Amino acid sequence: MQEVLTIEEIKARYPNKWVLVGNPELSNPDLLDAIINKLVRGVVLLVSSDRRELGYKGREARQGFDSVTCIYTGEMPKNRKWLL
Amino acid sequence: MNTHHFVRTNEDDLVVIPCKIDKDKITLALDTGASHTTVDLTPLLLAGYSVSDAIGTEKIETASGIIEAHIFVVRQMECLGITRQNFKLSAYDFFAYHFLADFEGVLGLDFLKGTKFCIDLDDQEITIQLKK
Repeated sequence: MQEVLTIEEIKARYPNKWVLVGNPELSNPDLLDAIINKLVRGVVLLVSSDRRELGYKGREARQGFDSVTCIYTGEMPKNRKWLL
Repeated sequence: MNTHHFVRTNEDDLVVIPCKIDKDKITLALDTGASHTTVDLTPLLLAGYSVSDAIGTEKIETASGIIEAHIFVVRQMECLGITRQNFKLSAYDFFAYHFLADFEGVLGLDFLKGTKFCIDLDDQEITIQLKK
């Protein structure tokens, strides 16, 4: 899993999954937005249906990569109101 | 003073901010109702921290009730053009509470300490100045 993929390719290959992406390249550094919306491309290091698995197995998978990020390739629920 | 433009397509959206813990990229929701910055445990594990690195635990009152969180001191945290070294934050397993969102924690008032901070919802921009 060392191929550089675009975000579109990542979503197409690994739908509805948590994906650990190495050396993520983000668009427009001046714009504040969720990383999933800014991600242009990166290296898929690990894929799982359980985000926590990325946390525990990702440390080994990320070796050799300066920077990583976790994304979810599925749809987020819509029409939610927030009270954090 | 730095100006940052944010994306908020409708009134249901929060203001979310791409940040870094050490060199890793995470998304945090800006939460002026949070006294302390709190993140999901997964990004910390990925950055090389272990639960045994926690310097303690604390109870956090959330909208969902009281949660027990681990306290970590991360080497570096960067948001909105500001870098904090040896920054103390709280972490717990967000997803154990069935929390699915495009952000992984909240940026609290502690990170904004010593700044002059303005959120312009009309122009969708944040201006921030580190005063001390």
